[in-house]
Amino acid sequence: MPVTLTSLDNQEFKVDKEVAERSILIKNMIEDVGESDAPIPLPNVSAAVLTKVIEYCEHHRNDPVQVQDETDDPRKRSNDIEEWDMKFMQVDQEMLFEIILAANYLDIKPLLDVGCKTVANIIKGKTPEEIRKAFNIVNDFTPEEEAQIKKENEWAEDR
Amino acid sequence: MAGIFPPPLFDTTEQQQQQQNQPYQQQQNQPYQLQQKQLQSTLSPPISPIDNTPISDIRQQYYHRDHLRYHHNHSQSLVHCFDTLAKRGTNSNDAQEEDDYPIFQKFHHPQERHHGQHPLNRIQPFSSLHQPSQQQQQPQTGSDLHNDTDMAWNQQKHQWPPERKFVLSSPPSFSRGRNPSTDSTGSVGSPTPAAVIEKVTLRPSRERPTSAMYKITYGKPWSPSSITKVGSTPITPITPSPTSSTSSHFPPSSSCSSTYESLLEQVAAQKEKLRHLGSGIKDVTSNLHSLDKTLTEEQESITRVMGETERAIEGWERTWAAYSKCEPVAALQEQPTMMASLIQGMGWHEKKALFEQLVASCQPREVYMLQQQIVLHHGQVEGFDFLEQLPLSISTMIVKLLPFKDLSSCRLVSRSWNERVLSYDVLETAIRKLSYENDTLLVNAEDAVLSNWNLLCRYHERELRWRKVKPASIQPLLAHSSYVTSVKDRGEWIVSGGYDEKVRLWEAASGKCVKMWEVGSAISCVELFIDATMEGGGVVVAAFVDVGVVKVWSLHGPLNMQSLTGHQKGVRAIAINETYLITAGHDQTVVGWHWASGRKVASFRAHNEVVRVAY
Repeated sequence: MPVTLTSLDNQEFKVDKEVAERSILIKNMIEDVGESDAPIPLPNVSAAVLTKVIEYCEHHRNDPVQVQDETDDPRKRSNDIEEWDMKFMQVDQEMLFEIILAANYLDIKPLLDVGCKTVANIIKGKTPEEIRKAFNIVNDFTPEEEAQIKKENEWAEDR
Repeated sequence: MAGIFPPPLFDTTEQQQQQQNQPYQQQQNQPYQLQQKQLQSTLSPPISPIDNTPISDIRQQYYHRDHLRYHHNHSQSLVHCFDTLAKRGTNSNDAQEEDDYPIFQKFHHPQERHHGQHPLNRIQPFSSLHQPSQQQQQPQTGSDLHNDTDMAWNQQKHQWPPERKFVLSSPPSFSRGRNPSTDSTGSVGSPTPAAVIEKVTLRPSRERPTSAMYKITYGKPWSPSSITKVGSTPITPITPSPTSSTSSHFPPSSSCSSTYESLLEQVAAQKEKLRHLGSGIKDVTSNLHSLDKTLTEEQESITRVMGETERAIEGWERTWAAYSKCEPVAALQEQPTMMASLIQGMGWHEKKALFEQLVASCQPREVYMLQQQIVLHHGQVEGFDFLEQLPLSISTMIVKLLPFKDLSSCRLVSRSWNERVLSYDVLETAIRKLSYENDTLLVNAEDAVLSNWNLLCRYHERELRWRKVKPASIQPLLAHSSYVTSVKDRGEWIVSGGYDEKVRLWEAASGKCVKMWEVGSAISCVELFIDATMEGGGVVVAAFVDVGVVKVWSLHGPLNMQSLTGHQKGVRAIAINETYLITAGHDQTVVGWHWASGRKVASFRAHNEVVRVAY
């Protein structure tokens, strides 16, 4: 049975329940409210982003539900992204930002993970100045503060 | 040949001729002297070169005239005379008058004038001077003063013409004379040795014999360039003769001419100065004009700005009045640009706080509207400060994914990024990644941010060293006297054993050997088990190469706790835990022991030799 989702800008999306339930938020809502034809309003997600999110959920509709394990050993956590996900995430920063927010709001853990990994991969290997350029950030350090942090980072220099 | 003289010329031979008539008479038969005589008869007042008396009288006369003119109206009369004489340059009747102003001779030599030619027209290159002449004549030598010169001339008589020019390069030397045939004033010595004889030219000629010519410059010596142009070899300087009885009678004559010349120079210099000054004044005037213009413009712009400022202040006052009446909406309507200009004047952090408040106060739809506005005005914003704009939980997730090197880069991006990196969660995760002791959490409480960072740095450093096989320090443990076969490092303590039949216990921190057990047989392997709860703090185990015995000691206790016997041959490997000890022997058996009691728990027969056992 399809579920109707309404985006921020009042567009309606009809999706399979299985797909919609990739979002823990929607899943809990459906469980709480029960089966209903009433559309589910998603006032934080615009149509463009919701389209993207639904695309992701459609692709991953058969994935096993990931067991949340916060105590997961960080050494074993991989930053690798599946090929399809990588392509899926090849969007401009605005959309990436929106997807991450939507994934967080809709509680789609794998999508949020992929989003975070994508951002982390953008940051990786860049100098502070390159990071600032990539993310349009203003350097608000005083020269003294900057010098202090550089001094603290000296430890980490490859010797 | 008559025109070889460089322009300013003076005859300086008069003195010689007047004071020493004899050589002059001896040479009368020569054309040079004839010419001289003729000239005397035609041009000069009746003065005999032999007779000194009338000359001195005339001198006296001239002295007075010169003196008067010099002292009373010197410059004017000189200028006047110059002009007059210049006009009459070729008239021989003017000779007398010219003699009053010896300077004139520079330009109108009587002799030249006599021939109706201006000396300037006769200038020839010096090369022409060097034409040999059959009729070279030595001038009449005069006073003692000129003896040296005369001798030089005599010596050079047969080598003529190479030394026709005499350049007396030393400025203080002075000599002056006149051709007796043209100059009735006689010779004088300058009262001041301020003149230089630039050139002395002798030019006896077949066609037109003449007297010796001296070019004398008064006051200022010639410039070096002109001297070199004229001169060849400088010869004996001629000094003023102190013996000359007549020299003292005519200082004004010479000083007058020199003064005149210097005056001319001064006038020229003053004119030049004046010209410079004139142009300077012009510049200054134009500058003043432009400055005046600028000033006027500045005043205008100031007035304009003042007016604008006043209007702005009025507007702001109205706005403030509305605002202070708690009508911010009215205030904004009154001054729609107020908000914009307020925000523009804000610092980065103030702006950030304001925007945060603004967004927080908006409904989701309003935020969307805001977003649309942003896209409308600025197009798609290229960069996104993800860490700052995403919720803290998400940005922490992102930072947690980063390896250490990127964390240190992120710290330098901005203040908010630095804060996020230094958060407890992030540092704890990062340290865990580098730590091999999962159960040991060294990360401090959340407030000790920097110490956590430093801890992370140390972990990172250790990781780097490990990867690069680059020890931070090397502590040699020197004691064993033969091969070491086995070492076990258990943090605080290190145990080792070898072929020297000794088991040694080391304190890891200091590298000191704190204990040693003599076993009397070569050791194959050692083991160390630390347990702070048990008596003695742990056990040390040693097995032997060729003796099937395993020895167990208390770490800190004195006792030899157990001797485990059972292996047929030596022991190859041991492993221990809090209860049991497993040994593998050369006899292809693996035996399990309860080490505290020394009881054999189990024994396995292996198919081949066991090299390693472990829990």
